[in-house]
Amino acid sequence: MLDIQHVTKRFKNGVVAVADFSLTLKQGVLGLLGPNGAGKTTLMQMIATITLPTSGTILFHGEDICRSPDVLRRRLGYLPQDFGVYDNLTALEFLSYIAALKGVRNPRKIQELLEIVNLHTEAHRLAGTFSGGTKQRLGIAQALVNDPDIVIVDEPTAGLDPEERVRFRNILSDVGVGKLVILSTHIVSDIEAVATHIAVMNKGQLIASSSPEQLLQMTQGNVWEAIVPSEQFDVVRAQYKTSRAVRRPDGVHVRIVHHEQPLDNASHVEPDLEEAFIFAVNVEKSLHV
Amino acid sequence: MSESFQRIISIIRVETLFRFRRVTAVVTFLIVASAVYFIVPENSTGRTLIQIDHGRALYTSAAVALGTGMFCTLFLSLIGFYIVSNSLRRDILTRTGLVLAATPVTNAEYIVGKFFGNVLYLTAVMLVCMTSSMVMFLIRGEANLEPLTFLSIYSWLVIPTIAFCSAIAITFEAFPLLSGRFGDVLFFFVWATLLGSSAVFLDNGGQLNWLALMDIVGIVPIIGFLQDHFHTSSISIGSTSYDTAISPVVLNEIPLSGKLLGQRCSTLVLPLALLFMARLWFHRFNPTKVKFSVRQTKKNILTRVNLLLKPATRLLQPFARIGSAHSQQATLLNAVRTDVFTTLLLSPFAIIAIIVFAIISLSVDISALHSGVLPAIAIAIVIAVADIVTRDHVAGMMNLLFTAPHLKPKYILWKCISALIIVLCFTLIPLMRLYFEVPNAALSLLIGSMLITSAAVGLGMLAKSQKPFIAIFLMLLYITLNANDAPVFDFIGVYGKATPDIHFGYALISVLMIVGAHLKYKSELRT
Repeated sequence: MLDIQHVTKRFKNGVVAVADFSLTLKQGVLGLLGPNGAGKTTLMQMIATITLPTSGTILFHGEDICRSPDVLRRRLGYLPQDFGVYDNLTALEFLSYIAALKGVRNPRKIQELLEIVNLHTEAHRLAGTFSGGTKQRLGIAQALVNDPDIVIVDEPTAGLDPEERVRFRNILSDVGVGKLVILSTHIVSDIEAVATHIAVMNKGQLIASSSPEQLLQMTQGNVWEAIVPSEQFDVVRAQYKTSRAVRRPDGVHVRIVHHEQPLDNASHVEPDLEEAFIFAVNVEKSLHV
Repeated sequence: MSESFQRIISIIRVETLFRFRRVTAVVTFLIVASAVYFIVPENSTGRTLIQIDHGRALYTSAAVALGTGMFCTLFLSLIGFYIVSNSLRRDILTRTGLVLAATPVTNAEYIVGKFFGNVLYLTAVMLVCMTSSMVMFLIRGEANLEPLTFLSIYSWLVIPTIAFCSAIAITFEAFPLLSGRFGDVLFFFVWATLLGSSAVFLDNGGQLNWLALMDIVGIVPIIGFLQDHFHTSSISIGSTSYDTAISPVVLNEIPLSGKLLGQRCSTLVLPLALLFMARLWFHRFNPTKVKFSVRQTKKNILTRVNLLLKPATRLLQPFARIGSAHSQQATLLNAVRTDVFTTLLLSPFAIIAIIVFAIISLSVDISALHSGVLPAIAIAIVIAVADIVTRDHVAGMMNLLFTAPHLKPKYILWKCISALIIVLCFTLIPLMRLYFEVPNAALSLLIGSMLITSAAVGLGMLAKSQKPFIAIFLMLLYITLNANDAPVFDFIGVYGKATPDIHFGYALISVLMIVGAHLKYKSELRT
């Protein structure tokens, strides 16, 4: 559906935000993971036809979207990072506005979407009075209003409370059926439950691309758990990449991502996706499947 | 209905909904309506709307429509720009622009939609002005009310102005170099130049040449018609005095001639050209061209100038040490000190301007200080302090500032003192020179400094935008420079003719603006 070929984005100040990025995507939910400044947002903006790549091509069903952006724009839903709304418009008015710009003429579709994102009871409230979570639900509704083939959501859960985050993930997972959803985040738990494919970016480069299971498998044997005396914990933390630490009566139970046994009392544990992400970014340089 | 047309209509609809739901719309309408009350004076007061050959024109529908229409076109040609030049910026600040950029809406559709959104809103202002004029006519008119005469004169006179203003606002916003505070100030000079070109055109005898394209306010056809009709060049429009001994002249109609229509239609060429440029320059919210994280675009000229002048902030280092021994104490004075330094650090342009103007003020003769340096200083001050309040709101700093001692209850006082210190940095040297040579002008400048300070804080607080402050002050300055026989406008001592009443009036306005800002601030705290 979407073929990204050798895409590079170099800014005028010489900074390379995305470097020779290639990836072919099909239906499903792609979790785009990466630390802050990895180039995720720039990549998504290029896919969303908002900015052009310096070099490389992005093909949608074989059409170069850099040359014919409208081919994709008609089939695209995009929720940018820190999405805001016009304070003086109601949810219904705002959604109708975006629907009209996308060429959607069916008012029933707007009503359906408001129900899907659970905003139907607040459709006539001014969007300026909405909480962050409610605004994001309106944001996902506007992204879906044209029944897109590709949905791009950039850091959608930043600033949301845990309940809203779960709700947002569920909506995304429900509406993403039969579409390509690209979900960018640096919060691994956001994509843990919904992603069918994961791409990890660091410093503008694609450093891992696989299914979640394969990513976990590749991390197998590289995650350790050890009990460290409290007074030594800071030293261990400075020396190794730790994924989590819990203080207990017998010391600090710490999980370490490392390619060889870090401490004498360390033993293997099953990795989770967050640890796979840490492994990909910090330890392994290339994990393509 | 084609898809493209539907998209344009949607953009216009949203622009209209957004603007009409804002309190500022009501405020604008009230200001226009009350201004009409003042420019159509009661004849018994010795003042009139149109003065022809020292006599007055009878208040017929044509005369009142022409006089108030002229006010409307002048008002919209300047203030209209500041009223509507925020529609692209809104899409940047809310990041809705990114969503729009990812839709099939074309650049042309977007620009045209925004343009007509501006046109619709300014037309509403025009209709308010026209309706208020008709109401004034019912009160002070001396003939039958002819609504169609009002509608006709307002249409051919004001609509080209609205088109120009709507187009140039979009063009300035679409071009990153001209967006923001620099563009706001630059527009004032563009406007003044266009008015000047109209005057040149009039001196040429109003022949249809390239200058006709620039006559955005329609002075040429109106004055030309009145000169031809009454065979005199002594014409004045706007509340003005007249000789009561002279019988009033009658203006029953203004025939819609081909020449008149041609002149007004020719001024539509400029808006069309501007729209074309806006279409070419439009950044389509490309993050490489537009910065989304702050209120200004990356390529704004003022931002670039300030970046270039950044080394000038080193000049502040010796001053930063003054009182630093006590700077650990959380006093209001320390907060003021910090705010002043922050303002200057954010705007190195102001540091250079202060030094340059101080040197010039000491070296030029006193008449040049009056007429040349003081207006230039006023413009520099407007640029330096325009955002002293609004920057805290835009950057979302208010809650953070409130955690500092004293600032929450004394926010307005804090900002007033900071702004006054910045303003005095500019005016202190001229003030001292004037004090010894023209004390009356020195007093005007001192009160003017207070007026600018209170306006920057007051209007910034009330409107949450720096545009009203910039627009009102530049317009006042323009009027001051063009009305050398009217001491009432001499708010900074350009002529040194202000009377004690005028001094008192400006001091009172300053106090009222601070009180207004404080009340608005208190009401915001309650909600």
